[in-house]
Amino acid sequence: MNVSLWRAPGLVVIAALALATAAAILMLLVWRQSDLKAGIREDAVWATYQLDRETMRLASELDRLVAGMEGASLESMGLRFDILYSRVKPIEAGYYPESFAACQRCQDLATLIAEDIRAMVPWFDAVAAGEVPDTAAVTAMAASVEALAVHTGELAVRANTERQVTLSNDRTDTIRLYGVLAAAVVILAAALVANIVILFRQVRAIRESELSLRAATQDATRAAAEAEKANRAKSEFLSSMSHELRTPLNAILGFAQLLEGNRREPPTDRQRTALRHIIKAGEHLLSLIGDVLDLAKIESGRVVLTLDAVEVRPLVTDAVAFARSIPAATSLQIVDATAGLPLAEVTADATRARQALLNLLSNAVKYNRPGGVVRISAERCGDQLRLSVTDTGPGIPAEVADQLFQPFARLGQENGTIEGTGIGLAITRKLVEQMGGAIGYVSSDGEGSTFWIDLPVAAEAPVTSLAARTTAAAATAAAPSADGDPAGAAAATRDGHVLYVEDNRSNIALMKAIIEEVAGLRLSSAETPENGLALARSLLPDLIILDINLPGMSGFDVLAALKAEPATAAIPVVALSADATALSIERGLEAGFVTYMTKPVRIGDVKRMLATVGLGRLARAS
Amino acid sequence: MPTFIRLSWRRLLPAVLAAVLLLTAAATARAAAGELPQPQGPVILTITGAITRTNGDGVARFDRAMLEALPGRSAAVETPWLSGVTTYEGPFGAAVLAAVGASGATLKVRALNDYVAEVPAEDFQRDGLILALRENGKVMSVRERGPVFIIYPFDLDPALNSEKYYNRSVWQISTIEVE
Repeated sequence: MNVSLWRAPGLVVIAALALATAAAILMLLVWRQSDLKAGIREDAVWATYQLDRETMRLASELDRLVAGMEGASLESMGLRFDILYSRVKPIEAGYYPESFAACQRCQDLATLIAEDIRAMVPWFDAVAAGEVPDTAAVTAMAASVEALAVHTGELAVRANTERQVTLSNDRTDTIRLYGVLAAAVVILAAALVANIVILFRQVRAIRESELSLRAATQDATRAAAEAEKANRAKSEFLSSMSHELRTPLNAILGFAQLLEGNRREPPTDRQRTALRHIIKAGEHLLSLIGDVLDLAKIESGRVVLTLDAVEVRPLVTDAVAFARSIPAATSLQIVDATAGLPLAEVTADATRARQALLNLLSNAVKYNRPGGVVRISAERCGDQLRLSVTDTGPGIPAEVADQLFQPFARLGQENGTIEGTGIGLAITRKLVEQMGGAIGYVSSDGEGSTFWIDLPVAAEAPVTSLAARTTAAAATAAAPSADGDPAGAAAATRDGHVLYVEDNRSNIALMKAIIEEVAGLRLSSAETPENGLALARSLLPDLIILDINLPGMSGFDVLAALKAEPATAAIPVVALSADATALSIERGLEAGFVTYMTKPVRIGDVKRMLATVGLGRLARAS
Repeated sequence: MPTFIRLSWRRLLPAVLAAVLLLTAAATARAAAGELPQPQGPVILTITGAITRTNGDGVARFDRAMLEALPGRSAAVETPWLSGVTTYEGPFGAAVLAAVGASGATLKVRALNDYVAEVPAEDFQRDGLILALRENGKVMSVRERGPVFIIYPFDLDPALNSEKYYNRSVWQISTIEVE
């Protein structure tokens, strides 16, 4: 952490200081340890005292001899002298003189005493040799020893005084040493306290940063929740926009188709042309709305991809079939170069992978020259499978390369003849990237382009990708082709009564027009779910078409209410909603709708639905 | 006298027996103490107290020859009392204690000037501690702090250089009492 980085030198300096102080203390103690002199000095004082004492004892022995006291003898006098004599050398030699180096008088006295005692030796030696001294001689010697005692006494006192001075000096030294030691201890303690403070601060800083991190995390969580909320609001906005835009489009396209297909009062050629323009523009608008919603959803991360091992073969086959079905493709040659080749499985979302591939193919068809070629090929690149779509169109100028995958980049086709929303490649790129793949292209001006997508090859080959097929099937159901007549619509022959619950009157009118065009069918309608339920109970219709977005009650609730009543439980119910998301379609089918149709209503879709439930007498080709 | 004579042998017998017993006991004790030879020259060291081998009335008396006969060594040491290195010779303290069968823990060492120091008996068991009799090869007289001087092995263990051991380094030793 940064905090500890700039504090670390402080810690090091303090630790060094503490170490130096400890070393100093140690040195002081060692120095103190070597000071043995004090003990020797004590001994020296004791030696001078002993010297004085032995002198006194000799003097006393001499006195006793002079007085003729009992027990006094020349022999014990000799021993006293010998003992006294043995005390001379230590005060002259050894360590003692050093102890009083500062006291000149002490040294002088020692010399004097040693001389005096040595001077007595001949006399005592003579007595020891057998000479008997007279009383006068003994008295004289006693006087000499008394005189000596004055000196030994002085030496003892001086030595003691000297010791006191030295002791008090030592004490001063000791006190000073203690002062130094105390200061050292204070420094040590201060260093330790400083260390503790720094460590404490570090701990606090760490804790604070932890807290702020936690707070930041909480903020982030809150922000994420808010973003989530905002995102939900955006989605809801998009969903309702989708509804609001599709509903009027529903009416526009529906009525335009009705007018165009009206056999009783066929439109004039001019009217027919106008109607075709209306229908075409409406459908363009519809696909634009769909694409914008799709892109918005992908960008907001709301598109949940289900990554599975997906077989590429059906994807390619489907895509080629789709490309051939595009009206503009009639003059083109569409080549499947993968035919007969083994294709790996990729990890992808089957629906979205299909969408991406279809987009590339649709572009290749749209941006091509008459009589041109569209070629789809596959190639293994490491752990990726590359699917390439090559066209023979005009190619892409290098200067627009960076706009190519941006939304609404029509690359000069805004006013051109080729239809498009300009969102397809943006969506495709996002989808491919979300699936862990990549997208790119090569192009040469005037000769055509090759767009490719890379998808990661699945690690293991799964037995069958049933889920992928199911999803693909659902997607097919969800996005029925606009142009198709009901492919498998065998002629239904049953008359019937259809109930339509829808709060938008123009939608009701449109549905009525469509339904009643079919022979043998009639339509009843309700604008509120309550009325719808009441009518369902009373009329017991053969089919109920429910708008999902009803006031007060959703289509799902109405469906549940219908299923809950034995009388109406068996009536097939079809959902009709502006919400075209895959998730909603899935939910609808799960809830029990026999079919989920999306707005705007197309005549073909309705007829196919009727055929599915077996209602009406439909001609094979209407 | 007649009265005395009238005292019968019977009545005297216990006293006689007791006297004989006492004499026998004394003789036995003397025989045991007799292991330590009698000193031939002047006695320079007397050991008393808790000892088992004696040559006197419960005491062990040594002359110079007896002490010099015991195992010992020559130690070159530096002492606070004399300048430079001095060589001391004499029997090991442990050998002296062994010679008298000492069993006490404390030795009261008394000097000619009546200085008394208490020395733990274990000090005498130290390797190299001697009761010095000679200084630089010369017999120590009283004037040279003789006749016996406890010399700690300062040469073998420098840690002994302290007042504690200096005070136990008694010179002019006359008696040692084992307690």
